[in-house]
Amino acid sequence: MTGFPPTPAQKAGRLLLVVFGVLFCLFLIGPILAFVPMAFNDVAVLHYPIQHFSLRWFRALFASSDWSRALLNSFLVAAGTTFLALLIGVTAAIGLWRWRSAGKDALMVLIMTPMIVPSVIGATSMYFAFARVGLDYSYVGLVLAHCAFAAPIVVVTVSAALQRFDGNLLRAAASLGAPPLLTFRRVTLPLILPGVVSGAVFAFAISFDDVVAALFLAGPDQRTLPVQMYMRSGDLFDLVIAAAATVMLVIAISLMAVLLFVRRGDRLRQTGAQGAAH
Amino acid sequence: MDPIVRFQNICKTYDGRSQVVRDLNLSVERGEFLTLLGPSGSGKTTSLMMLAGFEMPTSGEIYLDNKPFSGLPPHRREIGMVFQNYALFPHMSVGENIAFPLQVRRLDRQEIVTRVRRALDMVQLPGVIDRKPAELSGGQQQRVALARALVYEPAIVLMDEPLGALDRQLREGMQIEIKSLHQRIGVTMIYVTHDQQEALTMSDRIAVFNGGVIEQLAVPKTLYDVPANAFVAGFVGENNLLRGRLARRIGDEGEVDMPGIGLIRGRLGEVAEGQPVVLAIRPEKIALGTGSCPPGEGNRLSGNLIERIYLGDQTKLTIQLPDRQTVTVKAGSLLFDAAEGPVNVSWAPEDGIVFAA
Ligand SMILES: Nc1ncnc2c1ncn2[C@@H]1O[C@H](COP(=O)(O)OP(=O)(O)OP(=O)(O)O)[C@@H](O)[C@H]1O
Ligand SMILES: [Mg+2]
Repeated sequence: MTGFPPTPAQKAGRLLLVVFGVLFCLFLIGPILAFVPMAFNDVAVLHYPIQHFSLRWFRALFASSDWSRALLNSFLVAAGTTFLALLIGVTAAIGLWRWRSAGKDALMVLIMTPMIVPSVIGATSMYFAFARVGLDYSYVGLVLAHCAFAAPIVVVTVSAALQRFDGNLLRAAASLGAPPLLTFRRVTLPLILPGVVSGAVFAFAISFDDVVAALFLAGPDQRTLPVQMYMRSGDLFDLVIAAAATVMLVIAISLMAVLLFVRRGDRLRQTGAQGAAH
Repeated sequence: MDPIVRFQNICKTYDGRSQVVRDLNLSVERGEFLTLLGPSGSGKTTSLMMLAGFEMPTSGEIYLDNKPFSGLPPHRREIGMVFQNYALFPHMSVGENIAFPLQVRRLDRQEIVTRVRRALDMVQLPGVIDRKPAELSGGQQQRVALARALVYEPAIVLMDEPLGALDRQLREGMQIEIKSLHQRIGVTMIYVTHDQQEALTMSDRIAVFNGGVIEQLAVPKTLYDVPANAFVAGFVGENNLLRGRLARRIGDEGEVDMPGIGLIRGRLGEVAEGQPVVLAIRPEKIALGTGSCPPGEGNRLSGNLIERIYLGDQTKLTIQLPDRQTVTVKAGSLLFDAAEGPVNVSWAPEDGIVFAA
């Protein structure tokens, strides 16, 4: 920011930016804002204005065994994916961080491939590969597939956190008598926790959000919420789908809140540390 | 008495080509304050890291209490360590930092509390127990690091330029404090620095490193008064190193021929007649005679005073000799008034030492 009062041109520019920003947000979340209130409408048509506020679609959602099973499946698969992706992603990030020699960048790019290659390619290949070993239409197969998409992002967020981690602390801990696992639990993990939590949030979101892999790999028993929604999207008079969308939105917003909280805490800690160091 | 630590024929190379440490043999006595002193890149940190277990020797063996050591992982070596950048755990309070090694050893809570308090008192830092490291000054952080490295009473504490990040005044205060701490608790300390003044102030013995080898291992006074070679003479304290050729040996003295100047006498190191040599003479041992003021006895040279630097308590004068070599003289600040131009310098023959060049 400069200390001078803005010129008319600058004022106009700023106004334009605000207008554009608002329009862009509308474009992004407008459809969602229009759709979600339907979940609270008593009438079984996509229709405005809302006549009677009602929770009947939510009741229907939780009463229906198909829908509640799908919701539970989504949670189970996302939780499993998060756990496995953290296990793989954190260890991979630390391994990469400790790796001194060349070839590190190439490996990093290789690890990123699942994020870049279109997921439908990954999903089809996994469908055929998993069918061979009997993992198609199974929770394990679905979790593995989601993990392939989710683990790389954990590597990214944890690597970013490790960049600010002072490797001397590991030596200090060892010299004080702490074996490696204890050092990880008491020193490394607390200090890279923001990166780990961000990674977990992203991993959970990636799994919760996935349609492509689930379409290929989930049998009727493993059907997740997005797949269930996709299957039922043809029925215009059944607004349980709007209730499901609302539930997903609430979950997404909670995840975003976690992310925001972690970032804020991290930044506060950083500025606090810098402020006191001077 | 048995040495507590013994480096035996230790060699270390990181890349397989350049030897960072060459055939190091070094015994550390129990309870002593040993300093590894040397220029940047001479292998001090590497030697320390091999002792701490963070680097493996390429060949040779390190013994602790006469037992081979190199198979042991760092966390089982029971060696305390203080780092230049303190390496305090930023997410733990001061108290938690110091308690860490005790918790690792599963001491009971009450014992830990007592020991942490005692350690903080020892480094004269009561009242900061609940603060985070980032809320302390550099000097305070280093005290916490010291307390953390001492609290579990390791037999050996390693310090790698622990005061390097502090300003001069704080550094001098900490030097004295660490030294007195060492005397009080009788721990063996191995200290790395490239500051020769710091080494002279603190150490029982000093090992002078250069290019991966120890040039000399001696008590500070010997190192200063009787350096073993030209490198040590130049590195420890200030020294004038004058080049010439050994003309003649006379008992334990020798005559150095310096073209354009004449013959200068000095104590002999290990050199043969006819060899090129350097004569080392400390600036404070040289007397200056100007104009009418007569020069002293012994070696007498004439030259030109070309530079005067005021140091407050002293004056540093640079004198150019006829063969364009220069000598530095340190003298009382009164001499700052000396006029530039022809002067005489002189010193006693036994104050100069002749080394192979
Ligand atoms: N991890 C490493 N990998 C490769 N080379 C290294 C490594 N650590 C040190 N070296 C090299 O070994 C040599 C000696 O390094 P060392 O750190 O032991 O020197 P030092 O005496 O501690 O110097 P300083 O006073 O600068 O700390 C240097 O040339 C350095 O470049
Ligand atoms: Mg070093």
